[in-house]
Amino acid sequence: MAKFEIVNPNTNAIFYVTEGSNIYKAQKLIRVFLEHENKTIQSIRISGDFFIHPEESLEKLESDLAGTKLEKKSLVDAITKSLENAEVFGFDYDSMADAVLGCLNK
Amino acid sequence: MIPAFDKIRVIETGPKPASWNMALDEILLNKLGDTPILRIYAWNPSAVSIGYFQSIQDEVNVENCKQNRIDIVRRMTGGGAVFHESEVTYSFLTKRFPKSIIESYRWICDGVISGINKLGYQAKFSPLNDITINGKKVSGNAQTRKKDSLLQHGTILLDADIERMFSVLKIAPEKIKDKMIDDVRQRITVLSKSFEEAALALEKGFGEKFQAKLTYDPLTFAEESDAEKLAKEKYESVKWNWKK
Repeated sequence: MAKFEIVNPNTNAIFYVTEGSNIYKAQKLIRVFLEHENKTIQSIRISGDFFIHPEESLEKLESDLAGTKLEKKSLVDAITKSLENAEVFGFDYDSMADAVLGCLNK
Repeated sequence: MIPAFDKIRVIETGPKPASWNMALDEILLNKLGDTPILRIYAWNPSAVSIGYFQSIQDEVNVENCKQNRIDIVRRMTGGGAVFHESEVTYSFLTKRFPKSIIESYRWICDGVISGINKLGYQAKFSPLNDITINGKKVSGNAQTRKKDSLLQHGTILLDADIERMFSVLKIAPEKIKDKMIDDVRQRITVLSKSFEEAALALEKGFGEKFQAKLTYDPLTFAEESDAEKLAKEKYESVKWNWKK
């Protein structure tokens, strides 16, 4: 895990963003790269050989997960809400949450 | 229950670059009319296609592809990275299909299976998106839906140079590569047929499955030039291929 100091140019406030990544085997492979601060997702990139219909739902998920606490229940709730109009093959929402949380250990 | 089709437009486009192949699928999907389309094609040069949700950086050995003049392209469909070399590739496009995604895979794969079995094999559907012979994968398939139309494309293996495939796909750390190669050899199989034999069987298989007359109808000038334009603008672009 790499940790970076970031200075807000408007307030001079200093905060720390940590990067993490994980490769997780659900039914299909999930790769996650994330930046987090205070156990909250700042940004996240998810890739893999799964299927999501419509495909644009993954970009929505990445955007919706920003600001989500890195806790299992918060993640599963956020993933479920974000993908409520999507059909997913290759992972379930528990697995996706575990894939994200795995970034904290690596 | 989806009613049978009166006819299927069959297009044979032969071996083409990866960007053109993917562009043509998108053009045909966007302009699809009531008649479904079956396109049969191949890849020249050989190519790696990655799934819509994958990243080239994670999946492809770009340097080896450059050295061996192998194209790299992102598909508009999900799924995994595929090395396209000795295979028959098809695209099937339709406006009438089962709404359930799993059912629609099965429904279209039945056409592929019907074709493979005409060549003396006993192929079976293996959900979600594979076709197997004696439990070994011979065909992988992927689909997308845009507005009211569905595109499914897939490959049928005619040969498999697994060492070459592993030299362009990032599959495993070097130290377990040999084991992975053996493992893949155990899990896949090929049709020992020529491209022409397999292509013809596939066309007949779709015709029978959907009780449809096959009408051989080459690309129009507009379809061809639109595909060339889209290939350059999208499927050869860094923005699309390195999206992730």
